[in-house]
Amino acid sequence: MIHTIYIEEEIRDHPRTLRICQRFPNARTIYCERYTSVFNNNSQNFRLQKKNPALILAKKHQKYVLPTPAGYGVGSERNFYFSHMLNCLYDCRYCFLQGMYRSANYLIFVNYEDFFEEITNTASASTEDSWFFSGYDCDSLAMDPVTDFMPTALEYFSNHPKSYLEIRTKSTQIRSLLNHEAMPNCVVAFSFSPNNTYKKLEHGVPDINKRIRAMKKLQNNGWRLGLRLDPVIYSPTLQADYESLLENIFQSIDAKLLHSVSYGMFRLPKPFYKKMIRLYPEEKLFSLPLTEHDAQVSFEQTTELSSLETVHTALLKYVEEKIIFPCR
Amino acid sequence: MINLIAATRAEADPVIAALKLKRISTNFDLYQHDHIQLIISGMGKCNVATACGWLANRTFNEEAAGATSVAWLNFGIAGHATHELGSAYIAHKITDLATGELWYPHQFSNNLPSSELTTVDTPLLDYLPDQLHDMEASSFIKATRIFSDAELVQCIKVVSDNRTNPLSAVNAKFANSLITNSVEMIIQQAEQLETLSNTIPQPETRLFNLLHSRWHFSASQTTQLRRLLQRYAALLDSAENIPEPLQQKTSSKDVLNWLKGQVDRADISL
Ligand code: SF4
Repeated sequence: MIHTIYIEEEIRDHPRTLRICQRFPNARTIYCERYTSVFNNNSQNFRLQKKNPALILAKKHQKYVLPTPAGYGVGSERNFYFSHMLNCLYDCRYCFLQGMYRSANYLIFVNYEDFFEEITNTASASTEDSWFFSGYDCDSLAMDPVTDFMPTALEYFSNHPKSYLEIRTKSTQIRSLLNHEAMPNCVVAFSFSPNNTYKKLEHGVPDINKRIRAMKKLQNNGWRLGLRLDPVIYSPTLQADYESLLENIFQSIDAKLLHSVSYGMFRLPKPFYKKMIRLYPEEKLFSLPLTEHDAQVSFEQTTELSSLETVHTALLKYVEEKIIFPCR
Repeated sequence: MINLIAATRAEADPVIAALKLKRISTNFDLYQHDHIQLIISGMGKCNVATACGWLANRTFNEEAAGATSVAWLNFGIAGHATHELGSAYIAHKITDLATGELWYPHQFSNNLPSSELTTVDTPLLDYLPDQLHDMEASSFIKATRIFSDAELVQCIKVVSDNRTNPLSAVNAKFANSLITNSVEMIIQQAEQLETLSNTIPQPETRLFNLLHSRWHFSASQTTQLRRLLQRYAALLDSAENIPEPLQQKTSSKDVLNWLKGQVDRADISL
């Protein structure tokens, strides 16, 4: 429940600002010059804010679209991401957002059209297809009833067939997708962890079976689906955990219709990892014997390689090698 | 732990009485009971900054309070052009009129009405539109955010004057009665803030102190020791006493090696 909404003066009368505020008639509204005064100040504490985050409505002025880090794509050469929102409704303990931001407030940039304009410019710089990933700094769908971003995004991408949209999510908020005709240039990518990781680390995330049901509904409606197994977190029962998860998913989902599967080991940039230890010193995950390699903190390389191989082998039982993409 | 800051005795007295605080220092007017401290800073930005700095030093000093996470609440009277006398507000935006600096204290609920609050160096001839006026809050928030997380620093003000009831009519007795009427709410806010502050995990200190006093650790070994004990607590156990196998160790290096061996061999299922 949102109890406080910070609004930048510049967009106080923007139609999306007014619509979002209407959803929360009892929330306190506080106007500010720039969102940076309330988001990411030095002395803010992510863990404390996460207990009761506020909503911030702001205008983004630059860098709407950025190249993805290497190894993020699913087969294309031209990969970009954009974030109309920062932070997430859920609270996965491994989430890098905790290390990246000091604030857990939900920040929504209401000038969606500026994102699409830059997407157009980025795509038109090449004749090749371009992929645009949503859900890098947030969950793409979890807050969609509030942001109402998807209907606008789907409309845009349905008119730009050479631009591909990936909607990455752990949410079951699929109404805006079901209300729209399925699009060949859009992939709805669902992220999963095995049940024990889900239970211990993915706080507030919808139940695994509910997410599988949401996937099935979308697949029945013609939507292309992706499966994302990232982060893989080592466990002595890793093989059985992933075999059981995949069996559960592919009992409902037609593997032959799947667009892509990607997986990647749990990894964090060292400064993020250090910050997350300070926030959650009691968290077992951050006390496991992790090591630093390739500028990231992760499991030691032999554990990493064998874990990824296990996941890869488990996937081959259901999907073809050519749609599996390891993330580094 | 919670630190309460009031500018004057008239404002502080009702809270001191309600919480049964006892005077514990003569350097500053400092009162305490258990995990609650209250300081009377004196009026104005300079006085409050000095008081907060002094109190922070005392609070985090292991020989005194030895706290690791502290919440701060500034309470007192303030003026407002139109708000009713005696009405209470939590500050959601604090501006320093002289410097233009501003802060947005994190709002955890909307149970209490909130307001903008502007800190002035000297009383103004007229009120600024739709904001409270005081003489301490900006300095309080600036000073205390150095020592504590921003979410743990809050201000509550009770309206003492407005356009129809001028500041010149406010005396100590009236200030005291305004705070007396709001004392329950002030204490409730203080308790909520303290509860929040207590959710911040405290570092393991007992075992650390035991080990640190028995063996000599260099500065870098001390850092390693803290991290190993933290991992030990997360993966194995929050040991209160020195684990038996460590009793035989003859050097700090052996202690660290033993702890590292334990945490690296721990069961790593989540
Ligand atoms: S769903 Fe994704 S973005 Fe949200 S907390 Fe979990 S990992 Fe982070």
